[in-house]
Amino acid sequence: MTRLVTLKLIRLVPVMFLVSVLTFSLLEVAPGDPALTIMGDNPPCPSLIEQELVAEYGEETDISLLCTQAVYQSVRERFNLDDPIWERYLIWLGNAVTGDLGIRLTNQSFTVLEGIQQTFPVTLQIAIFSMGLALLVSIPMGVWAAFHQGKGFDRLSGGSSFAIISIPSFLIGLLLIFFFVWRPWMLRNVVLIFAMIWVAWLLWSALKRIVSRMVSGSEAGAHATTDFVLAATVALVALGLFFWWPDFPRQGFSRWTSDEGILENFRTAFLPALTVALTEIAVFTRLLRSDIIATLQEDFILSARARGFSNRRIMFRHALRPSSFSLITLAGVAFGRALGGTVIVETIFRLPGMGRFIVDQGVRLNDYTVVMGGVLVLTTAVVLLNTGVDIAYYYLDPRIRRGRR
Amino acid sequence: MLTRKISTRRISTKRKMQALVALILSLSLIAAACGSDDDDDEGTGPVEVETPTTQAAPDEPESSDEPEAETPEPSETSPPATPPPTTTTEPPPAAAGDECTEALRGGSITMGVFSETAGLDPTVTSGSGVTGMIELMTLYDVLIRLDSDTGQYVPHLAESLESNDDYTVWTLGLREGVQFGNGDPLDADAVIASLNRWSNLDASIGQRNQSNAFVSFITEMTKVDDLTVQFTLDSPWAGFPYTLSDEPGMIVNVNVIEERGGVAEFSRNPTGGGAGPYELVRYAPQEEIVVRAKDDYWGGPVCIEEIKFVRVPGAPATYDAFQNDELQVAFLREPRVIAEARENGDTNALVFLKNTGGVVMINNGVRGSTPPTTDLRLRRAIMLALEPSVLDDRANEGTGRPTNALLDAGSFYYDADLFAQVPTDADEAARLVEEVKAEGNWDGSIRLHCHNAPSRIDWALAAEALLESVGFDVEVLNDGTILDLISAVLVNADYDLACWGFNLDDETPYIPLLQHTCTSRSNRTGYCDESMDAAIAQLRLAGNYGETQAALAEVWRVWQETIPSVAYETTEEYVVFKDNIKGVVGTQASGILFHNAFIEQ
Repeated sequence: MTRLVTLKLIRLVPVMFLVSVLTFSLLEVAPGDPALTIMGDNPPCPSLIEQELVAEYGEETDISLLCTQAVYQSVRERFNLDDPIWERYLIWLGNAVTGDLGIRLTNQSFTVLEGIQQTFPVTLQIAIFSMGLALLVSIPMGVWAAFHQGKGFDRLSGGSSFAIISIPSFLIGLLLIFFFVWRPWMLRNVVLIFAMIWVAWLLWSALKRIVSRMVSGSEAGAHATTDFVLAATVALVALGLFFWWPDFPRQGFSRWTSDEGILENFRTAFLPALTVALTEIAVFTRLLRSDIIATLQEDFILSARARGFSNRRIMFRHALRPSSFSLITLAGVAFGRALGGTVIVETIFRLPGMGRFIVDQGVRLNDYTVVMGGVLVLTTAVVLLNTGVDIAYYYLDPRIRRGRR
Repeated sequence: MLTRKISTRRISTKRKMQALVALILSLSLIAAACGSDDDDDEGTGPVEVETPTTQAAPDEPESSDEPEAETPEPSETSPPATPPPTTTTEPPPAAAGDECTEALRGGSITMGVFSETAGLDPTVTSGSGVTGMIELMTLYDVLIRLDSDTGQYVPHLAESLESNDDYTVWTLGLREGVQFGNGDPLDADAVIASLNRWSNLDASIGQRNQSNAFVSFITEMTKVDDLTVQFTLDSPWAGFPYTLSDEPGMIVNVNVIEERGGVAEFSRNPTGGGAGPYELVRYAPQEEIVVRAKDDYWGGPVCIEEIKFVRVPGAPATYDAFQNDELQVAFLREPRVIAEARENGDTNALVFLKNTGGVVMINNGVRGSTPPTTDLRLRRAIMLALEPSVLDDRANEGTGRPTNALLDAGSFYYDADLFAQVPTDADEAARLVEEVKAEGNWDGSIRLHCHNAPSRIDWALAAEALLESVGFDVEVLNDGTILDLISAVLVNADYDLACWGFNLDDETPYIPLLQHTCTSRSNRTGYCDESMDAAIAQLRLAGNYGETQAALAEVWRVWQETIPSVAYETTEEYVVFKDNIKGVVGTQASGILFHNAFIEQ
């Protein structure tokens, strides 16, 4: 096991090296000039430069543009922007391996590392929340849909999934804002109506069971109590939500370490996490459903049924595990995507995350130190994540373990 | 039997799954429901930068009983047509009932700013309320401020500012007992040391504030006594108070800069280095700036205990957050959103107008270049072709303030007779273009540099159509960012026309117009005209309303004759407040002072 992990970690090095080389090269050929960002649109002419220019060109010369060019050149020299690309890359790499990712060119009061330390936890939290939410919802939905293949729930979940997948995430974010922030009463009423329908259905089922038990002594009547409890729970939750519907913010983020506390953190993280999660829920559900349906055709499932195992045991102990490889792979990829690709969601909800840090502070301002540092950290995170997924296979699939031996 | 058993178990599984789904739904929603739904309960922000340094035992605020500068409650007021002398006087008495008192203390607000500041040192910001001045004013205050109701410059942190007869020597009187956050006195030495920093700003470390141009007019600073500084200017300038009301007027304790080890560290944590009503609590770029009221502010109690500055990307989202009570103050600059706010009745606002906020900057032959636009006939053709209202319809859906005049109708100095717009005339424009083409040295082609912001793309499309309709062959270069535009204009001086803005503030029209003088350091167009130089020189000397208006009228007259560039709109900045926020003071360059603000119960 140690050897496996060591090998995996060693393989990270060339990947990260290649990514850093590519990123540095792309930034070099991209339009824009960091020196312009640093000096601004109308830089002051320092008196020393002014004196030099006056001495060289005389009092009567218009030195405005000459001074701008002199300032521009001094900025390029200070940040070695005129050095060959390989030389600048090697300097950056040498510093990076010692943990020094440089200062932010556009706000030199802060280092890139500080920016990452400030923004990465936000992105990580949203990614964890969204993946947790996605798995929490999609696994039962996928199992349920597979188990009831072709029936109402399967068709409903299939249709909903395709609808959600086809909606871009920014639109999902805006729709969530519309319903949760601007029209919460609509959502509140819809939840109440659905909950009441569900409660009525549960009560109807319970009554049928009681009648059935009274008439025929069916054992199904034993589940009537469960139905009543479930109906009461749903009714209470629905009424609670109706009267105390949470007030979600349009934008902003409260850190869990802030004085506002963890609940405020959940409140501000919920809509962004749900925006990311919805698409993943749809994808995960469809994927898991398909895999489980395929697994349920296997001989060992038939064998398990023949041996009289319960459906729950068959589904969760025999079918789910071998059906989860694709899900784990995809969840790993999705988690990596959530870490690096949530800039739209971060922008919509004004989250101080890594996506906005790299795009707003790095790409838009031509601050290559920010882009390089941010990409390096995200690459490391994603590659480590994929390594974790590989190691998870090792545990989940005995064939891989045996293969390694 | 087996079938029935499986069926029963299936039912059992079905129940469990229902329970599970209900549980998941319940838990997720309950977790969310448990969050605070009280947006007003801002509490205290996280202290991540540094805690404030120990302050000296608070002295009795020396000036707490003195008349405070007038503090109009924010209201939707375009600058009044009744205008102002520009020299300073004693501050007018405060209007009763709209100033902070001990009884009104409490509460916190969040303000959505237009853009993030580049740092908390006045020398590293870009200047104006659009880019950090408001945040910095809470930390440093300003020596002088503009009274937006009367247009007068009045002492604020300073006690007085007086000039000699020819505006070459200005004497600044300071208040006794004013201290920086670390307890050091704000005296003449502190003022001189702070202003000395502006003489040699280094853009390579981010010190790019352009206000050093005003400070450079000071040839000598003399300490008369501990509370008096005398400034000698290189030539007469009646508008000198502007310098001390802008970033240079935010006096910084240089000792704190040294303690912090330089500009970079000070710029992230200026705690103790300012004499403003607030002290920094947290500065997290891209996230928030949080400041908290001082207990020993020189001007008396500070009512709003905490102010959080955040930037919500985009004007519509900023206004959304304002409507949802996540922001109590929002800085809006997008005409469509401003119009929406007005329609919704959100009129508790400060309005700042930037004359010539949108101009087509014309290369008049900068750095010896010979673009076609050196020909006055073509510059005139451009002015006659570009109908401001058409550009506004296209870029702002008709919600902006289109004009090609030097001053907007809402300006202090506006007079319909003196500052009338130039009527556009496509036929005359076409004739002029054809005349130049006929000479055989030019084929009609012209380049229009702009950038790729959506509204500018729409604008460029309309400008292209209008210019082509009179015979120009326009090449629009707008696929780059604003930095590419800056590169083309400022660094390479390689442009014919560029979408730009001169932002001619009423409070100091001289400064933005200075770039149109022959020898100005900020002359980016190569425009040079003796009459314009004389008119602008006259503006520099203008000491009262009449003189200023006359000088501006002369500038506009010469402008129409020589056409250095072509204006097409006034930029409007609209800072909207919740109705219960009172006592906010607007000042120059879209600055806002919160020292006297309070939340009405």
